[in-house]
Amino acid sequence: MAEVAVASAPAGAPPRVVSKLNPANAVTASRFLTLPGFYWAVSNGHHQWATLFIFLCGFADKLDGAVAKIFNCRSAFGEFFDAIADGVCYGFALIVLAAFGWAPIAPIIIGVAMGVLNSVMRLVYVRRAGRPVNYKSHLMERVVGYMGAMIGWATAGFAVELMFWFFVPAIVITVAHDAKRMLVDRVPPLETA
Amino acid sequence: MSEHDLVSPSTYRGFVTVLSLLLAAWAFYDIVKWRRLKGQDRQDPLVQDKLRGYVLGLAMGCVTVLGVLRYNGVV
Repeated sequence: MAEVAVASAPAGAPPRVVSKLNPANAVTASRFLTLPGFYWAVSNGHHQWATLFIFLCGFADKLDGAVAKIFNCRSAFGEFFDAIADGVCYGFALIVLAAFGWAPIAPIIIGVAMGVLNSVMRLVYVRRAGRPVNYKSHLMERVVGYMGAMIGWATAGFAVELMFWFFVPAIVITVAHDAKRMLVDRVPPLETA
Repeated sequence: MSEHDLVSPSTYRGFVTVLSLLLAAWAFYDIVKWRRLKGQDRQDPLVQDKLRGYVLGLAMGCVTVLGVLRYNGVV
């Protein structure tokens, strides 16, 4: 039986409840299906296929938000699951790129380390909030978007050194900026509007 | 073009270039969002987060355009 998650509802109304098994989460979960294909393409040197798989993964990332709106199934869990999917998919892709020499290793190590640190801070934030909640950061949104594009650029041999080394200060600044808000600042109350 | 390629190399290069320019344009749209913050309390942590996010977005847009130029042998 599907578990439930609390979704945002109009002010004054009781919190609406949506199943975790909803179309938006299905689209998010489908992103994992692109990973075996991506690995196959990179390990066999098929650049165009690798670009296609990471493009599909990124496209599904954009699609799940639209699906959640269309089917009115937005939930705190969905946002949290989306962030986890970002970390798993892009983390896996970066490691595969480094393993097969398609991208410089040092920026990837720094990026993955920052990603792990950010995930730990998110867990602390969830514990502080006492509920599964996604920490929203405009900087991190852009870094995650850039990371997806950067993986695609690596598959195409697109100014790889420039794009990957620019990523290092971007993610370090972002994680440092978000650390205070996640670990020190007050956790906002449950969104009801 | 190898048997495993989906399209010709020139089409692929064009696709990557156009997609990258679209991403850069999307990043530059942060200028519009930045202007909408006019008059808001710059000391508010949420406003600061937005502001810094837009600055980072603009920097990413600039680097992407530079990448497009390098990818196509212009610089």
